[in-house]
Amino acid sequence: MDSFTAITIAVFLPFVLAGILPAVAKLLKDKIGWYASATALLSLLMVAQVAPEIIHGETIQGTIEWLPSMGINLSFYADGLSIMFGFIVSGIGVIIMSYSNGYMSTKEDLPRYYQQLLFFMGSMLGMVFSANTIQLFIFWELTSITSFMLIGYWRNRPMSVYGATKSLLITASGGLFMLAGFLVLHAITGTFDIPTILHNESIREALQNHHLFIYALILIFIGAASKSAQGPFYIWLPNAMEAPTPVSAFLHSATMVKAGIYLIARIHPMFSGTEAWFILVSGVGIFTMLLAGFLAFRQTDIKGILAYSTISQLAYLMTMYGYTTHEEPGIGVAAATFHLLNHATFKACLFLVAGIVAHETATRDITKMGGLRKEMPITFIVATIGALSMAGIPPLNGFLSKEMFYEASVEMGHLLGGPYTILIPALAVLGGVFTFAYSIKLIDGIFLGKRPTKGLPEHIHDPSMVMLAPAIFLAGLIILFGLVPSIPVHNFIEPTVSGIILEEAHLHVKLWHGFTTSLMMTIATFILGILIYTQYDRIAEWQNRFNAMFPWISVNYYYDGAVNNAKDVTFKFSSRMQPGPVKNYVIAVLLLTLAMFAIPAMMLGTNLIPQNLNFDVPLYEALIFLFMIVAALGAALLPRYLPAIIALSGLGYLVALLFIYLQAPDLALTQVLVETLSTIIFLLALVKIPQKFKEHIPTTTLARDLIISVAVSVMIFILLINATQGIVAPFESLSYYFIEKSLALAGGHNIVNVIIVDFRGYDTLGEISVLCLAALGVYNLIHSRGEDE
Amino acid sequence: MISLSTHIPIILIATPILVAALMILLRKQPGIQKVLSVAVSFVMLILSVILLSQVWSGGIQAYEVGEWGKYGIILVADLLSSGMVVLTSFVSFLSLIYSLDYIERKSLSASYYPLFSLLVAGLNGSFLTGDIFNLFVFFELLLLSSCGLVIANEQGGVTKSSDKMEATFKYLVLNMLSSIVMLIAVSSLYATTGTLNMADISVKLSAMSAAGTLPWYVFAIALMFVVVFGNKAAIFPLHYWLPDVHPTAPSPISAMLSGVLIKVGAYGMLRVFFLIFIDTLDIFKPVIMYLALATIVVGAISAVAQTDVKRLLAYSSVSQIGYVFLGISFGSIYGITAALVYLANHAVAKSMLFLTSGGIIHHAGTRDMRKMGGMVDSAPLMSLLFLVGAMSIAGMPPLGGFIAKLSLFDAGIGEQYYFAIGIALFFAIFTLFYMFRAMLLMFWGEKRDVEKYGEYSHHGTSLLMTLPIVVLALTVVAFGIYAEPLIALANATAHQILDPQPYIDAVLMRVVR
Repeated sequence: MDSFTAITIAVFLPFVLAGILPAVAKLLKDKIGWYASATALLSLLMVAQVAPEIIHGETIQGTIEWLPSMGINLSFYADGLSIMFGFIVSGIGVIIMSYSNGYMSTKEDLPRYYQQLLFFMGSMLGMVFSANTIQLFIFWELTSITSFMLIGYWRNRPMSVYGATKSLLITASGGLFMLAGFLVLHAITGTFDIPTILHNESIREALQNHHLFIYALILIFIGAASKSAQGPFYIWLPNAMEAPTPVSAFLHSATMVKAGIYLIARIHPMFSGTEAWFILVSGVGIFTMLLAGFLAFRQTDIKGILAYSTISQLAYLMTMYGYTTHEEPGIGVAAATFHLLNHATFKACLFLVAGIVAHETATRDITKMGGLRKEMPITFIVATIGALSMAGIPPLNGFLSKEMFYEASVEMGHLLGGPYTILIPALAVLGGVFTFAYSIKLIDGIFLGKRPTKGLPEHIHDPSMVMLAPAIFLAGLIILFGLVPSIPVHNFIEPTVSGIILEEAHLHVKLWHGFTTSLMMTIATFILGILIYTQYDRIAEWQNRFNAMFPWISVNYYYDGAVNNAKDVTFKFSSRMQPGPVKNYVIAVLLLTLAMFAIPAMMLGTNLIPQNLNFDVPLYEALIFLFMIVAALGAALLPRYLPAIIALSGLGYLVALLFIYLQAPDLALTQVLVETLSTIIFLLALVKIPQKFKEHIPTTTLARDLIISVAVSVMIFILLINATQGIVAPFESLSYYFIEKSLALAGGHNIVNVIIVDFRGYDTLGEISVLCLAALGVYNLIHSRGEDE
Repeated sequence: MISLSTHIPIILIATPILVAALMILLRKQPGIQKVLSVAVSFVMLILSVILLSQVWSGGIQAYEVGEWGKYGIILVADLLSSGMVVLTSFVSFLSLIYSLDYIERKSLSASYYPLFSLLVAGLNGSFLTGDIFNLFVFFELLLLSSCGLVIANEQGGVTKSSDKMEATFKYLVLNMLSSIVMLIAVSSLYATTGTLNMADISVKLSAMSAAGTLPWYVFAIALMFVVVFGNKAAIFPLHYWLPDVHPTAPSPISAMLSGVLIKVGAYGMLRVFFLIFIDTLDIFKPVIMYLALATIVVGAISAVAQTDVKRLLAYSSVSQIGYVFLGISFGSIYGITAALVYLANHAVAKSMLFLTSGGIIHHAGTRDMRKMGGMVDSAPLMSLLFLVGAMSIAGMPPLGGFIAKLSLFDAGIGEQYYFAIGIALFFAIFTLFYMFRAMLLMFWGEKRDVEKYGEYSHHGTSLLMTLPIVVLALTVVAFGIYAEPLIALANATAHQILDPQPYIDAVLMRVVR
């Protein structure tokens, strides 16, 4: 099988097998989780098959035609970065789905759970292997949606719904901004294809010099930050912890939240080396790293601590990828990439532990726990390995990548010079201190100290191997990567880094590398960390007090405000916009009509009234017009219905008279008939209703209506007096044709009749149908009225 | 030789009129009416597809009604009109099937079928006519038939008759007003050019423009058509009738109104401005862009406020039609392609959502979303279908709505309408918000006692109601996953719209007696 096929299978296999999963679930019943694990394993094998080529420094690309009209195809691209993510996604997928077999109660809706997990995994794989931005966006939003479904797995719990909504609103909306960014990128570079931009230096140079560069960067960064819970967008991740714990471990620590990081790494070659990149990516990164690390203290829910820790760790990655200067675009890339892999191992491990603890103790509240080391010895050891790795203790893998982080921070500070030489490394250490403190808290709070006398079940023990084995496996990886860093570095980190900095990368990562600045920083971190840890509870209390005092200093305050008030505010808006009485709407239509007339009249209308008007009106016509004006005024002004109707019908008969003068007897006849009939109907209706206008109309309303009516009348007058100046030369009316052919071809002397029944007989068919419809409508009305009574 | 296939345009219009007449006579036999109308609707669907494929392969077809050339009335099937006819036939066929179990028996047998038939005739007639006065006639047909259908009753009587009356009244008044505007505009145009045939008007106006004799008031006449078609399409500030009418109509009729009828407005703008008033496009485009943006904003904000599911969908239609007009206002190949893709997706997705809402209302016995909740367990299929529709309208991949938004935004950014795209993008988030909030309110959250609200609450949706929704849902999915045919068709249509010469030739290059 060639590599492109393998990737295509790796991506689509989960979708296909998830599609048939409900059917399989009928056969396998409670064992369906193993089917899902096997699917993930297949994907993993597919990814593994491609890996050797990538490690040798090759890239793989292939295309299937999809939307040629838009220049968008289904195309996959595999380099070090995507392969590493492919391994993380499918590998952790296998682990999580196996673990779920023990975690999820058989009473749960298992087919839905596994189906969505597989959909998610497929989407995530699709995203990391996408070779074009649009395809990347499609899979990106699919991960948002599957994440939404999984956070809201318990659909009837209000908090699940709240968390799911929040995550969807933030990540999917952020995705829309990202899409806009991609489209701006398309406008600049003329392509949706990522490798084309990556491998073409002139395009990248043109991009960086383009005036839209900064907009593309900001828009895409908003997408990445919302997905990876950075900056103000972090708020969705803590609420996402409403999901079942394996989901949190999979989506909200190891994979989906790293999509933003993936994107930053992916676009790194296009955008890095600019000040904007450093300020935006590292700036937001450092801010989030400190804020989230600090806020973790307040959390009492173990998943809450892990959530804030995840936000903070992701911010590390952002910060490192953001370190850049023009000469050296990828200062922190190697450190970031290694830490990314390590974080996936230790954080997933910790989440699995959290799941085990919650499963066994039936609570996630850390204040209710303690002293569990004796009852759950294996869990305790695994948790300690995970937490110490996160804290950066040697010889675990977290230590190695944190050292590299410090090293990169020092270098970045040095390159920037001035106060930054100290500031950037100092901030990095501060971030490390917070991490150290809450990592220790996890072990101390759950496993050490005394067992509380009440609140915990009597018999607590290590879980079955189904749940334990995945956690042990991850702990093994943590130690392995720490002791023999060349395995991950050679196989994953080097190919990835070469793909990002676009040149061959050779890294030398060793456990012991002498008394360097970064080792000093690590030691400082431990000392300060221990000091802070002694004050842990006081800091948490202070945070609680602060939060109670200033509730408005929090992003959640504004999110909740916006979402909760959305209905009321918009309701006010919509009821103002849609007041009810039809009169207002009529005014809106008339005003728009006036505007539509006024625009060209003002722009182009040199003389609104034609110059050579014929004022030679015979006296009798002038008289008729005079009477018409009087009748029209009467219809509008007379206070009682009866006289007003008489005035109105008078107007109608006067029009008929005018038709006679204008030599259109058949029109006049029709007009007389219509006028008579409508007057009779009016009068019949009048019997049933009050004889006077009762409502009092305020003068202002009256004035407004008067102005609008006059304006509309003037408008129609101007239009018609212009239009009736005759057909613009050299064209002539169709009438000549009708006059000529009426008798000859249609056999009729009366042209109007021939037009109605022959030339335009089709119009008449329509009009007859309209009449028929009106009759039907009336019939219906009477019919339904009869039913009601 | 007379072959049936050359007469498809007139068959598509005359058949439903004939059938309507027949069914008024057969009103005592609901069984025959039912079979007949579904069968005819199906045949029309097939014929419309044949027509589209004929136009696709053989070019624009002009059909003279009565062999009078431009002196009589000519029907024209180009890609735009035949595409719209296919859309009409598709949505109306499915809505009709859905109606069989949804509409109350008495309403159904009284006049529902003939009215429905005439509505279809009105739609097909409006799309296929090449004569501007004839367009006016068919607009009247549309207006009156839809009025009659709005007051038809659904089973369970969720909507009060008085509400229906009030809505219909507003609908009639506002549409009559725009009819008057149209009449004034059409007659002024006739007085200026001496013809009613759209291709002929186009030729004459271009000649005037070339000779420098194009009078200024032709621009005023042109812009009056913005009012006329804007009113049909319910763009701001002409949208006021829609949020009253669409929700009070029975769901299959809401589907027809929101799915197809408001698109007549978009069709009209495309036809009239890009065929006839080409010289006014420079004024038309900015005007319609600002109106489109206002429509997006007003519709989206108002939709957030709604608690009645159908009213929410109605406001959503207002907002979404704004996106269609935004694409039209770009006036380029890509813009119009995007507008057409958007239009097609909205037609299918929104009619699907209205039909689904019918099923939901049937199930819950109320239109008020606050009284629903947790229905995902009792109505899982409706929940899934609503999700598909909501996602598509919100522009989430991999559904049709995504492709539509993608092409629209791409066109806008490519042509540097950054401000417009910014607004459109921001309110796309509103769309996401109100659609998912509605879904969560109805299907997720705590379970409510459904039994409490109305006697129909125990009703599920019958097969005849479910099937049309499923077909529409599959179409929405297909529009997203394999969008190439739709985009290619829209693209070819946009080319045809922007190059009116073949249309004019097809209509005018013929021997007249």
